[in-house]
Amino acid sequence: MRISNIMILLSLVVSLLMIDSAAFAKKKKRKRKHKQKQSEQMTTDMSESMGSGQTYAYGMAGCGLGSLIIKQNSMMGQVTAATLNGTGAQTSGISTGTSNCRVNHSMAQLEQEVFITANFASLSKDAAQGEGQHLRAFAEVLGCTDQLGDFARVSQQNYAEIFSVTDPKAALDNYRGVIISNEALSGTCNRARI
Amino acid sequence: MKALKAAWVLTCAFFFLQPTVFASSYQEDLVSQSQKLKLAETAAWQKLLYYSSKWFGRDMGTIDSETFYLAKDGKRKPKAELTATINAFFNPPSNYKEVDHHPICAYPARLFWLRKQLKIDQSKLPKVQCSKLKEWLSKNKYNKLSVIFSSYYPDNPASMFGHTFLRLHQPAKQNNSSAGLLDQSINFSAFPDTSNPLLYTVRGLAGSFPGKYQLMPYFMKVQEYNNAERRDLWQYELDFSVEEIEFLLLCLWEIGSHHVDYYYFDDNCSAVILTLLEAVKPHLNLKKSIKAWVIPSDTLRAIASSPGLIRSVSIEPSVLTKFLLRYQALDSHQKKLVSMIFHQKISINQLGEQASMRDTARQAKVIDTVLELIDFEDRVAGSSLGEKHAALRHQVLLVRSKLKEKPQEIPYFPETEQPHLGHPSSQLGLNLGLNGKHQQFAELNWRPALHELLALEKGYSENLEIGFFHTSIRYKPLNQSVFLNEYSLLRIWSLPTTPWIIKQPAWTVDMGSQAVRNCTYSQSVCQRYFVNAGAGYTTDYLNKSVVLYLMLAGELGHSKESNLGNYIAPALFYGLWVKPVQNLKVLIRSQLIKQYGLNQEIVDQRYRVGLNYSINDYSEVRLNLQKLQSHKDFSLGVNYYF
Repeated sequence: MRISNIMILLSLVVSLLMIDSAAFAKKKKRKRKHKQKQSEQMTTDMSESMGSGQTYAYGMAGCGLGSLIIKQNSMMGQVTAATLNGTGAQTSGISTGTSNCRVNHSMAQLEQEVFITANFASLSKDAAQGEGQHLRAFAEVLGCTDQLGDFARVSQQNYAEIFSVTDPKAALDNYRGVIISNEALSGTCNRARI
Repeated sequence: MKALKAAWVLTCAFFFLQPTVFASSYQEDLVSQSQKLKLAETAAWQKLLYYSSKWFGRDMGTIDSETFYLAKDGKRKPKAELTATINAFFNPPSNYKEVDHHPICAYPARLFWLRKQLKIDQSKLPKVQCSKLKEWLSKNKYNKLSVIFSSYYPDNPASMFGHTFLRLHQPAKQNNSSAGLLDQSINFSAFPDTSNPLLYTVRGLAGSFPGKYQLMPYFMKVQEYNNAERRDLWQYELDFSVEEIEFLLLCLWEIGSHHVDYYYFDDNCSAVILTLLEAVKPHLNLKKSIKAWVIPSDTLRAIASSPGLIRSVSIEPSVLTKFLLRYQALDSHQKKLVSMIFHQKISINQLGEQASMRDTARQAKVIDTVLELIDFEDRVAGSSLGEKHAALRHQVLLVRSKLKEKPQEIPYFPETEQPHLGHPSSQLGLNLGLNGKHQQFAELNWRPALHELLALEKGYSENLEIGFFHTSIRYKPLNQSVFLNEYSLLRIWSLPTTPWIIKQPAWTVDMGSQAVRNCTYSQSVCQRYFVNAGAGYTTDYLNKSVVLYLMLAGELGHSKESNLGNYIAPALFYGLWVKPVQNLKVLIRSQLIKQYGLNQEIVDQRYRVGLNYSINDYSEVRLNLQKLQSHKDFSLGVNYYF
């Protein structure tokens, strides 16, 4: 079967010369250790466990995620993932503070940042429409699950204020400000106060 | 008496000082018991360690990290691996720098399974606190498991056959049954270390990239596939119990830090996911129907053919699908308004001033369609708010936020498009025919993947043909000759019939060789090698049952015909595609081409007419008529899908 692979390989080389190379989004080169030496050294840090289509940059302070740009045609379906957890021994890069994050960021803060960064565009649409699965998921991330209706209404009413900025993290601050100052929500959304 | 007491104390001391003596004998018991039970030969053990008998019936572990198999020859010997695993559990924790790397923590799935089989006494195992594993398991609680298929994507050769991954569903919270975006996905993919597409392909096929599992929030997948790549996501919920999902997590933990060499055609995302499912449910035999190459949609058919394994099927529509649904629900005036707002011929603030748009529900309908259109056109995803239309998007959203209208719900489940319903991806065909000189021929066709425009559309992307490795061998009884009549390495035809407002170009690529007859030397048949590509547009009539296309095209090639040699050729590709009913199709593809060789020029009008009748999901009858130079062929044949 490996032989068939090699045959296909040869022919595909030719074919690939023809295919528009623009179809391949430019990738940041990522160094990878080829072999894992010992099971002793299995722990890899988050930066290594993340995909190759990595296009976001860590912000200047702490683990601000900057913005997440998901490129089309990302190779092999890889996207950048600010994964909340990896698998196997690579886990807990974030929770134990081994990645670029400093420990002063709580898990809730991180989850909120990751969510709003990865879903900023979709969330803005859902908020303006006053409904949608991104809004529901974000309600859970902020701990507003019990008052979904109010959360959706407040998001829509305050759309202009929350989304007056294009930086996801700044929008998150606005969002939390709106929730905290809202009578209906400030009591329930227990994760909005950080 | 005293001596006896002393002896007793000594014996006790002996045993207390050497606890390993106890352990080792217990260890040996377990090993011999495992041999007696022939555990290493069970499907459960072999699947848990990802042994596969693909190498001429010999067991071979598919995991390529050196550390995954604990025995020296564990990759080849399930029995040696079993013994090594049992022994490893008794290694003193002090051997490990971090206690979390002790086999008890690193191989929890094997431990779980062996404990059940051998009734291992927990108290006799070394005391190890697997804090990382425990923490990870406490954070990962799921009650449902699905396989997700992201539809065919011709824009990228790496994913033209689709992609599969798993989704772990969180239990629904009260009042909030659908925060499903916060679920996790399990993705297996290559970790390439090059961005060069050529190297990427070569090395991808040769398996020199490590493939790894990754857990990633499901919303990342929605952003990537639904939004950035505009692909529908099909969800197949599997019949896995909560306990089985917990076991799957243990398997994942075990394999997570190891890798499988990623082969584009066999050890790929889809194949590896099947092995993971089989590790949890060893009685499943999903891989038996899988060929040497693994096409993602074939794995769906394998899953679907396992009785009761699929609980339900659903779809997460792409931004394109969502736009089309909203757009089709509008009347022609509303459609016009969508276009005018999008092209900024009227300001969004003027929408309410339109006579027919006093009603806010109607305004919302139009605005929501505009929003899908912007998101489609700009491939809005992640935190990018669009490029060309970012400012417009912001204005439209501001207006939308003032309308207290819920977006219109449009139920969508295209029953016939469920990818597992499609015909299998490999095709074998036999044609009998006559050429222009009334000579008979027989033709054998083989194509490992994927779908032709003439074939039954059910389960495949509308208007997309992806042919890979199509080979056709012809036999002529007259002079008893056998020759390669046609070979196509890769052939793509994309004839989208989207409405004009988002008109997507039609395009094609074809590369391969074809037999020609006007040969320079005395041979009766020689080859023309070519690569051609074209781009243009389609128009469609009668509810898409008649499609016309026109493309500007070019061809590069080398031909032995009429002393042509290397040539370059501008061309016009045009054709007609008629689909009166689902299982009857006619396709006329024509090429008007002028080949410029070094010494001469040849103008040719080629055409290829096909009439196809699909008998069922597996077979079809086809009538072919083709003309190349002055040579004409007519044939009738059957194709079988497997």
